[in-house]
Amino acid sequence: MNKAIARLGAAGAVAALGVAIAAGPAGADTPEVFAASAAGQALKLTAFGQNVTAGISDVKGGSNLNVTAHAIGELTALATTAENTATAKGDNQSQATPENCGTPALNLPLPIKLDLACSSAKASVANGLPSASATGKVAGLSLDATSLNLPDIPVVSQVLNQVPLAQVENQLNNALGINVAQVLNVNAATTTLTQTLQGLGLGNILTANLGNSTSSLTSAADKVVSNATASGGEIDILGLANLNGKPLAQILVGSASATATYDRVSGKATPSFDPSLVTVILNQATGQIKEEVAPGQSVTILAGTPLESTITVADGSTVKNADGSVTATASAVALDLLKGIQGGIGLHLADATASIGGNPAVYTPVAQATPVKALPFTGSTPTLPLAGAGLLGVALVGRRVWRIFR
Amino acid sequence: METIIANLRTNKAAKTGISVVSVVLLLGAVALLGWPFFTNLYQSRLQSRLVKQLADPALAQEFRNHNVPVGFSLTRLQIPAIGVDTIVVEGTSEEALRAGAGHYTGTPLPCEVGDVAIAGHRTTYGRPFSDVDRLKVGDRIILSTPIGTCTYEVDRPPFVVLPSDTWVVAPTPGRATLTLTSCTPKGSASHRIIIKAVMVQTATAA
Repeated sequence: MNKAIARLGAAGAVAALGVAIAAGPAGADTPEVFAASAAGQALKLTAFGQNVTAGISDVKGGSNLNVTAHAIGELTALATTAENTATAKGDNQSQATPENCGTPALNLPLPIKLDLACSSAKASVANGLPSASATGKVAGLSLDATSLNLPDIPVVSQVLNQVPLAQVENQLNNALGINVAQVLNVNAATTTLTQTLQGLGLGNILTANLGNSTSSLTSAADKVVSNATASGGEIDILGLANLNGKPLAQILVGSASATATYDRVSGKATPSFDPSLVTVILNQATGQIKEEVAPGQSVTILAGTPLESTITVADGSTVKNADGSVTATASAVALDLLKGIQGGIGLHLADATASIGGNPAVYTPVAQATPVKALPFTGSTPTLPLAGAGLLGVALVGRRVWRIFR
Repeated sequence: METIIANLRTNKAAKTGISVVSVVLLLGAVALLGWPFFTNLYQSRLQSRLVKQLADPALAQEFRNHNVPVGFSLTRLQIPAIGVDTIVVEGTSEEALRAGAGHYTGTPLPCEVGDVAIAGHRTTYGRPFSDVDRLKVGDRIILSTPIGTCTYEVDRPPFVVLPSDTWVVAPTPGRATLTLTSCTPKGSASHRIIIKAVMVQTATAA
């Protein structure tokens, strides 16, 4: 038996204490609240009292974990082309809709054509973080010169066909850099503006290559960002093949971007914008005249003629709203084209708006069952190893004694 | 005396008793001397479970609700300068601190505004804060929570206080700071060593 006890050895016993798990008492919390939205628009066209909007995108979402992304390729009072919506309601939900495209049909007195319009949208909430993005786009629009030959379009026959070259000769000569009557070998008094433009090889009256608008909402543990970016495009006015093969005027519009950021830690909302950069190029027979148009400025070409067109570059702005939220707006360019033709065609490019605001969570720290009276014990005591050594010594002495008396 | 010794030689019960007592004392000595080793083993096994728990989406929701139970994973703590990589649990009770390091309940959660306070063992239970005395100004401390990550930077050398100096974990309204506490000197609990840090990198999505 003594041998059996001796064989027990120094196995050591580790007291496996279970970890006490208890739910901590809930504090008196004021939950975090935030809301964000962004909207972009690639193009708004106004003609003859009608509006056509293309490349529309918008997103909205917030701390309630409901997120929506919405985009439209083209929108008129009569029809919507290529519309897409994605929503996510609640945590770990998501939806992404495939790109939807369509060919818009306009109902305007002038045969303005819009290219393929498309949209896409996606929304998700992952681990309590909402996010969304939406893109709307239309490739471009055009108004070709064949409409000038259509006698049943009164806006043309009543205007261009009625204006003699002599009436606008100075303006045209200045814009083109040539003596138009001499070059075309025509009588300015008896030649109409329509005939003049046809003589110059007018192709497209108006062509626009457009970009898209994208709106997004992104969230992180420390911040929420809403952004809208609207790509600009290139607008060509009066393509004159017999002059130099280039459009009389080219308007290059850069993208505009509006951003609103919410700091979830401090509760501070910050707006910002990047305005669009606009360049107007006059392609004269003798060369190019290039002009950068600064935000807040405008440029007019072919003034005093039915073809008068004004380009106004808008500046951006930031606003703090009454509820503490902020809004950033970047409006790119407003083009009033061919103003002498029944009010002309209005193009508004690259609009972007972003808004955000909120309040961070406020919570009462969990009350201690007993107040903290001292910083926690996270060390050891020297008495343990000393006691161990002491016990070891006594144990060895005891074994020695046992051997003596065995 | 000779009579006693003679009796002991013949008394079988007495000899058995001496043998048993010596073995018990030997076992006790092994337990006491090996205590730090046993606690490290226990903490290592517990940390394996806590790592998995930290990745649980349900815990992320509890974190957002400020309702992480005591003893549950709260954040991963890394201090590259001294090779620390451990899971911190919620709570600083004796049971909770068997995980190695625990978060002072009542202080802001990691990466939040205010003074986040964490206590850690120095010589037992994995001894995560064993070398905190070697930290210098500029050393970085990374907290990875279920919903984000943030980085703090030590902004003053470690200093020593009494256990009763609870002012070291007082709130810091409007500032994001971190306080680490542990016992000092090693093998003793007479004082506490304090490390103070400020947030230098905003939290990012996890």
